[in-house]
Amino acid sequence: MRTSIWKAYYNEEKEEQWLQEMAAQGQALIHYKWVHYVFEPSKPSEYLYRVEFLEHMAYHPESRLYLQFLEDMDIECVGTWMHWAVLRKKNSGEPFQILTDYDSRIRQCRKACHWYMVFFLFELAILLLEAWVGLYDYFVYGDFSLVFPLCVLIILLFVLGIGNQYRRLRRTLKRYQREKAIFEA
Amino acid sequence: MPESSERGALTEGVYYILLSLCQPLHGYGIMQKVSEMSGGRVSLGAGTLYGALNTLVEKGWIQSAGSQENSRKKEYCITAAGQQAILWEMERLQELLDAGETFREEKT
Repeated sequence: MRTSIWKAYYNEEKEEQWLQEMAAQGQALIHYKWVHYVFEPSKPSEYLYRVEFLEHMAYHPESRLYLQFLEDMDIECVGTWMHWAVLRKKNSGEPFQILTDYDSRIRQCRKACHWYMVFFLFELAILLLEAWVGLYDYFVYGDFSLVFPLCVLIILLFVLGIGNQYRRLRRTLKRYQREKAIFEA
Repeated sequence: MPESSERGALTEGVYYILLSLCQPLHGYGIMQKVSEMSGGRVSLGAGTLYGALNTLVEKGWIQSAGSQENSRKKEYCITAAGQQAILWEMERLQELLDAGETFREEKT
């Protein structure tokens, strides 16, 4: 029987960990779209999962070529959303790594940082607009509705989550850059 | 041919990819060959390999050798420029090795 789960992740490492835990419990991910995951029963730990930030949007021809190449390497794309792709591979006991050199990791990290910064600024603009509209209504018209503070709170949580993920990626990027100065891969 | 200004150190991955392509191979074959040549020490991720293959094709160090029969997997093989890059890298590695040997002799 298939299991459908709605869950939001900002941190792809935690997302991968969760998918791996589900796989260990005999639940293999078969569909992914943004915050929607569908699992079906499988042998425990039959697959290994990776969440990959694609250089281009998932529908871009370059991304299609890349995912096709991965498929030729027996890496299956379970689903995509915007820049993200959830990939899986049959568990053969070998570690499942997509990027194994610092150059590729740094490039991917930079792209992801850029994307999160744009998303952060966009959400921040919406937050400020929402807060301004709420305060304007309250002070000018004397209207007070619980809807506005609730919306502001939800958007604030989004903004904090995105900001946190951006900071985490920046730290990872700096660590890769430091290590690259000494080691090759 | 690579310009002299491009004669920097090759990464281990690129060096082994070039060596592996003395015979036409597809992506999975390259990964296996590299792992075999390095005694399992160098393991290329699929994403890293994809980026490296595209860059090497752009530089003219490798080229597409079509696809195997009954397979859509694209194969690659090394070009004369790629062979030259290997030779330059071997010279560079030899220089590093010689410097290390001198250091060892001085210490003993």
